[in-house]
This record gives sequence, structure tokens and C-alpha cells, in this order.
Amino acid sequence: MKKGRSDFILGFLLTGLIVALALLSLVWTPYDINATDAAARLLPPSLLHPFGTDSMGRDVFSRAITGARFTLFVAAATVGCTTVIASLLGLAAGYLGGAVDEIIMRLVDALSSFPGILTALIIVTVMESGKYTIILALTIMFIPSFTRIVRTGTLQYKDADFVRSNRVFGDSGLRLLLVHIFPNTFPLLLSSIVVGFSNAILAESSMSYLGLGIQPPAPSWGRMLYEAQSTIFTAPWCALAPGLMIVVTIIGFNCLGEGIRKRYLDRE
Amino acid sequence: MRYLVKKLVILIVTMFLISLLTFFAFHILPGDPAQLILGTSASPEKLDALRAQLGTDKPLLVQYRNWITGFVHGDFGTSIRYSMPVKDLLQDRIPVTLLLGLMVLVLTIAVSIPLGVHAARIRGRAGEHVINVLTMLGISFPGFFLSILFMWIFGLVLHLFTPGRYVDLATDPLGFFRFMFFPALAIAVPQIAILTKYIRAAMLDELSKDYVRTARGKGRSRTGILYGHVLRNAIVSVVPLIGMMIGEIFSGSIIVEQVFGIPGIGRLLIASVTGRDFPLTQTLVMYVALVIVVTNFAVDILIQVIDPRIRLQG
Repeated sequence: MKKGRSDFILGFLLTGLIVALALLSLVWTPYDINATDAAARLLPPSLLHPFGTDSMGRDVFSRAITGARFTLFVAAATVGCTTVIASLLGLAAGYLGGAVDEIIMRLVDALSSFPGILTALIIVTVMESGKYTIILALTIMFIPSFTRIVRTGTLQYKDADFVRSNRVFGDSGLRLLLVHIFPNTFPLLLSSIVVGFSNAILAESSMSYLGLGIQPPAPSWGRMLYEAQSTIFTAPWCALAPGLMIVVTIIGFNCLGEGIRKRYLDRE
Repeated sequence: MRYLVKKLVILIVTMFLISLLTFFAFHILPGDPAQLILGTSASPEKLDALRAQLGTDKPLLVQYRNWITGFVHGDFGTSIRYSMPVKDLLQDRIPVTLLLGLMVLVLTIAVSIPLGVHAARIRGRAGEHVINVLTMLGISFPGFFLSILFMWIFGLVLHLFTPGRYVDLATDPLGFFRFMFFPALAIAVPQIAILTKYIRAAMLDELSKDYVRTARGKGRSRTGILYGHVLRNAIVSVVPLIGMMIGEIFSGSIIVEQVFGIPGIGRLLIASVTGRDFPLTQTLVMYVALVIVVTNFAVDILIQVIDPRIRLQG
């Protein structure tokens, strides 16, 4: 068996399931996610309501799969923006070296020397809370680690023989950087991207739990958990549904990351 | 000595950069603090008055200088929401968060070391898979979800503590630790998972070295080798990780304090953010960042003391 195959299979199954549910919520949900029903409050899971209903009589399943969409959107946007910005910074720092490297890396060090959640909190304080603010906050939070990875990769290949020989053949600096050096940093970068997804989901749901992330009426897993906290004893399904969705998603992405690491990066 | 000086310079530069980042984040990002605090319907006179109170009507560099000199002299400004000096707000809350963090650290180390050593010892056996699955689960539960689960299971079902009823350290020390054990555990779980993995890897790394064979040849027992030789060397390589954990533990406690209703720094920070209490948020962020940077500095020095090889390189 190839290395890391079982991790890949489990990872694809779990993330695939969540993505499928999120896509499903685009076209169809069993109930309107904001429709309240006073007669159907805190119903336990049944055929009509697979995950039960919450304290306002809203269908938890519909809200949970719609929440998946918002969470995945925020995570994808965060990881996408981070990858682009950090790649530019990392390539510049690694390839140019000298003062540019020093400035970029000292800023990155300062940024990463305090917990990411503080950065996120500062940004949320100064700007209106919402989807785009949280994406900006998380992007800034993730830039340091991604930048370091790209920089390390760039340094590693900058003076590799194949890069030198292409330089002799007259390739421009930009071409060397984009065609020969950058693609070689992919395996490392890819595993950070996948793990970045689970970190983004953790961070987004935490911020939404605190009321500083995705704003109602849009459903988010973190907010659903906050609302379900007071009824945990009488109606545990309200908390378990979004909570376990988070856990399943994170396990899925972590398994994918582990699979990539085992197959491409470990030299055991 | 040169190493120490170099580290000290980096520490000072980092602190300076952090103060710049914190300060300018609050002043360069779009949005006028006074406007955000008072809302869009506020009269211009009121806005001006608040700007004067916050000092935001002065040039940026003057504001920065005032803030930093105040900070260095222990004058942390005045909270808008609580209308009292930030210093007084911090006084009662710092010990709470500090104790919580300490409990997490002790719990993490006390569980991870035996677990990591055991995982290294049973390499390749079925039990190893159990530990792998557990560590994977450990890093996959968000702190607030774990906290809610703990409140439900340990609080409401098993009645080991009363959720939502914080016990003050001064009035009932035993009750305090009993209550705080569960939030500490909620923060510790992912840290335990990570540290166990690292300790296992470090142990396996060390086990393949020549001195282990020599020790075995001399007739030392397996347990003696594991704890007497291998663990000591493995610990050295995980100490930096413990330094990094300080930040993680604080991040965890911001959220977990909120769920359990613990009156610590984390909860104050969230209240200041939701209440748009700029002076308070700014000071708290700076304060926490300082604590973390200084702790990391201390850990660096500690590593140096316990591992002379690094001293030689520096």
C-alpha cells in the first residue's frame, strides 16, 4: 500500500461529505433556515427533522448545512488570499535576500510573536464585524507561517544546479522564480494549505462563537453553538450537530494534510 | 554572553514592532474610533469631545509617544466602558488567567510525557493506533465545543462542578481549583495531543542513537534507559515547543474563559472588543503580547542553560 493512502481515503470521504452538503444547501434545504415555528421548539431528531429543532423551532439540519457553506467560503477565501500574498512575500524575501529579506522577515516575526487571535480581535474591533472582516483578519493571521514556508523553499532551490544552468542559458530572474523555483515549493505549500483550511475553520467558528465573525441571520456553526449552549441539557442535539460538523470537517482536512505529508514530505 | 545580548536586542526590536503594529492597527485601519463608539447619529460636538478624551485629535506620532511613555510608566489609560483606570481592571484579573494558564501547562506536561514515552515504547503495536487516533481527535475539537461538552457532561450530568458559577480563589481555594480544572482541561486537550506527538517523535529519534545501544550493552533496564537517558535528551528538543505553547494556551483561555464565565484577562479582552473600548483593547493586546514575547525569551535562555550545544553555536 502506498504511504498515507488510508489518510487520503478518510480525508476525501469526510471533506467530500461536508462539501457535498454545503453545495446541496445552495439549491435545497429541507426547511427555510430562518423560518421559526413556535409549535416545533426543541424537537429531538426525527425523520422530519434529522438533527432536531432549536429553541426558536428552526430546523437544525438546514441551518447546519447552510453553515457549512459560509464556513467553507470563509476558509477558502482566507487560504486563497493568504497563499497569494505569502507567496509573493516569501519569493521576494528568499530570492532577493539582503535588506528586503530582513524587513519582511522581521515584520513576519513580530506578527507571529503574538497569538493570531489577538490580530484578529484588533481588526474586528476597528472594522465592522462580518464575513469580509473575518477573512481579512484570518489572512493576516496566517501570512507569517505561509511566508516562512515559501521563503524556505525558495532559498533551498535558489542555488540548485538546475536553476543555475537555466540562468546560464539566459532565463530572466522572474522566469527562474516563477517557472523553476516556485513550483518546487508546492508540496510543502500544499500541505500548509490543507492544514490552513482546518485552522481557518477553527478560527472562524471561534470568532463566530464570540459574536465577532459571521453575523446573523446568516447561520454559522460557531454562533449555533453559542445559541445552543443554554439548552445543552434539555436539547443536546442543537449543540452536537454544529459541533460535530466542525470536528468532522477538521478531521477531514487534517487527514488530507497528514496524507500529503506522509507521501511527499517524509523521508523516513 | 554574545548570545544573550543578541537575543536581548531581538527582544527589544520585537517589542518595538509589536507596539507599532498594535498602535497603528488602531489608527490606520479605516474607521474613526469616536464615530464607532458613539454611533452614526452622534452630534459633531460630542464626537469632538470624545476625540479629545481619546487623544485622537492630536497628530499620530504624538499619540504614539504619549501612549508608549504612559505604558512604560505603568499608566495604561482609562477604559471608556468601565470609566476606570485600565490598571485597576487588570489587577484582579491577571492572577485568574495566570493560574488558569499554569494549570493548563502543568496538566499538559504531566499527561504528555508519560503518554509520549509510552507511544514511543509500543511503536508498531496496536496500542499505537489508539494513541494516534486520540491525538488526531485532540487537535480536531475546537476549545469552545469541548468546553460546552465538559459543562454538559461533567457539570450537568455528573455534577462534578456547577457550570456558570465561578468560585473566587480568596473565598474558597478548593472550590476554585475544582471549578478551574475543567476549563484548564478544555484548553489542555489539543496541547496534550500536539506535545505527545512531538515527544514520541523525539524519543524515537533519540532511541536510534549509539548511546542507547551502549547503555543497553552495559546492562541498564529498558525503563532506566527510557527515563534516565532518552527522555532527558528528548525533552531538550521539545522545550522550544513548550515556549510556543504559551501563546496557544492564552488564545485558548480567551475563548474558554468566555464559555465558562471566568473573570480573567481573556473575558475582559472580548468585552472590550464587543464594547469597542479602544483604550482597553489596545492596552490588553500590548500587555498580552509583551507577556508572551518575554516568556518566549525566557524559554530561549532556559534552553541555552540546559543544552550547552546551542550556547556554543550562538
